[in-house]
Amino acid sequence: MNDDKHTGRIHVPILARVEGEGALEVSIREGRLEDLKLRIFEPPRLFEKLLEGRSAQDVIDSVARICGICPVAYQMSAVAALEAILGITPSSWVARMRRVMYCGEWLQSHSLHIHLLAAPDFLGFDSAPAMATRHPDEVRRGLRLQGLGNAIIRTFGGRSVHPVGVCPGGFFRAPDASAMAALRARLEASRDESLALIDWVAGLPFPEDDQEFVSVSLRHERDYPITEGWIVSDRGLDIPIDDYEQHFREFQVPHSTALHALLDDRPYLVGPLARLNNNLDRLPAELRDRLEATGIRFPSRNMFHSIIARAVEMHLALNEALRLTEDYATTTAPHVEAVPRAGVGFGCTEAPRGILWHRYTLDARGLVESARIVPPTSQNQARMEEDLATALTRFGLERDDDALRLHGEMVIRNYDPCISCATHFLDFHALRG
Amino acid sequence: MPCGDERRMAEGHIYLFGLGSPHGADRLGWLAAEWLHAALAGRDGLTVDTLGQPTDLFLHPVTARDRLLLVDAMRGQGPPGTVMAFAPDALPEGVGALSTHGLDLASTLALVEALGVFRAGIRIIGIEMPSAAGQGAIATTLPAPLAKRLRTAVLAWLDAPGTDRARGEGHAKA
Repeated sequence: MNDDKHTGRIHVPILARVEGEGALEVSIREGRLEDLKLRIFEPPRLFEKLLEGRSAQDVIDSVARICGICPVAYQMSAVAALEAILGITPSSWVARMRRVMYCGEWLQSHSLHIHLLAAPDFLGFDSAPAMATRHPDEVRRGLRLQGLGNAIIRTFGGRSVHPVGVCPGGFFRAPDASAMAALRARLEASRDESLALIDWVAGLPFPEDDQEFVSVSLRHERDYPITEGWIVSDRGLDIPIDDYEQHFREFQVPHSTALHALLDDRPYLVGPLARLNNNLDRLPAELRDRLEATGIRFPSRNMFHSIIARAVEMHLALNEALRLTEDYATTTAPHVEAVPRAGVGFGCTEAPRGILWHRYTLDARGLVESARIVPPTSQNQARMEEDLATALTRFGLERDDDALRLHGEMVIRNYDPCISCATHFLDFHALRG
Repeated sequence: MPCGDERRMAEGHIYLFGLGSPHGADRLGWLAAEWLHAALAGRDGLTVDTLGQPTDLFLHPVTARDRLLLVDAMRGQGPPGTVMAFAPDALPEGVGALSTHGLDLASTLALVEALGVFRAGIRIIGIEMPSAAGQGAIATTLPAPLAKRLRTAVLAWLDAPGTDRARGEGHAKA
């Protein structure tokens, strides 16, 4: 058979080193890509329906259960939407400490992805333990940074998995000054490590993979966006978060229990690379200089540069946590009381994997009438399929099945997909006779 | 005379970590660590702490000469309150899978092995959690009989260094 006329099917039955359960199916006919499907078969989790009738606090604690990796993101998008309805403007202390807590999540989630999920792909190892035998110092550094992120979350939320400290109007309690001082000392000691991580990651061997895609992220008037902002794209979109549904369309495809999403009928990218592409000018100058010194230019069209964006965001998060707690003083009023009232509210924050958009409708008792949650992984699904088609074709469809399978998995893992997050909803239609 | 850190590097250190969280059935590991912290106070060369995730153990300056004891809630290994000790390669299903997100206990132990730390010994102690049906609700302190069984299991390991490196040693009921 002529390699140029290769025909066959590549089937990756279960994707490894991603959160949740999915598969990849590729059909090749006469050397051309005939069909490609990223199948998500994890059962729908129906969270939005489960939230109906719940109080604001129940929502905050429940949505944290959607994900063990990014519970803070779910809590922060939810509490922003709920506070918008309840007419609460968080105090400056609360706003700063929420950003610190969120920095903890970026640190732990990004470090997990860089060191244990993605880097083995770039360095040719089939697992993190295999990579650890050859790169022990780098893996241990990554585990320390991940642990620091967990420590930040635990400081505010009592525990790093499914934290419980956030409430409408603020936090249930404020960390005391000694706990914060101890945390700051550990963060300070790791500042150089997170800086060194940027150089290490920038030195990984990256496939040439420039592509056309639309970067979508939050934008903030002053800061690198994490807990608040408006929605922008690098193609001119510039909207308040309340207008999300007027521009973005979610829909179901037969091969996925997670919804796909399009912006103006096109796939789009959310996540660290999109965020950095859209917010280079919001990086501190010295971090921007450090990034420039790597020789890798941003905005980048190479999807594999996402891992560099993650490393940059880790250093930013660590520095932000230090900056925002520099003159830390505890408070006896870590939250204001919330009075139930009816209304519709929107929340959108930058989860580690991209924008996480929430909408709630509350009744006069403050109970949820309806909820809608749009997680980043479902927004990236259409983009992932588009990327896979481009990347595998460029990689060479004539290559053997194992090579194509491995490259396809690498492309998918590069997005750090959280499939469990994405499968929270299923469009259900009953046909009745 | 070497300082504490130097002595720790030279002689090895023992880390005893409770895995879990401060709430729910998963709190057993933390309750155990908090109780053991008090019960073993004054013992040299020992650090007792709670971990929300197994990988957080790397926040400590662990070395190849150190020993590791993990205490975690388990399910399906006997009546509530059963205490069992396991070698790392003999973990049954339901041990170490109740308190972990991101990287579970088995994956963390694989990293420990790959990084060459805790060469002096690793043990995992599981405590059977109350049944889902609600029998034996989780107390906010460790019940005295359970604390006694736990202490026996922990002291048996602490005072017998080097006995748990052999692979396939399996588990022992306390």
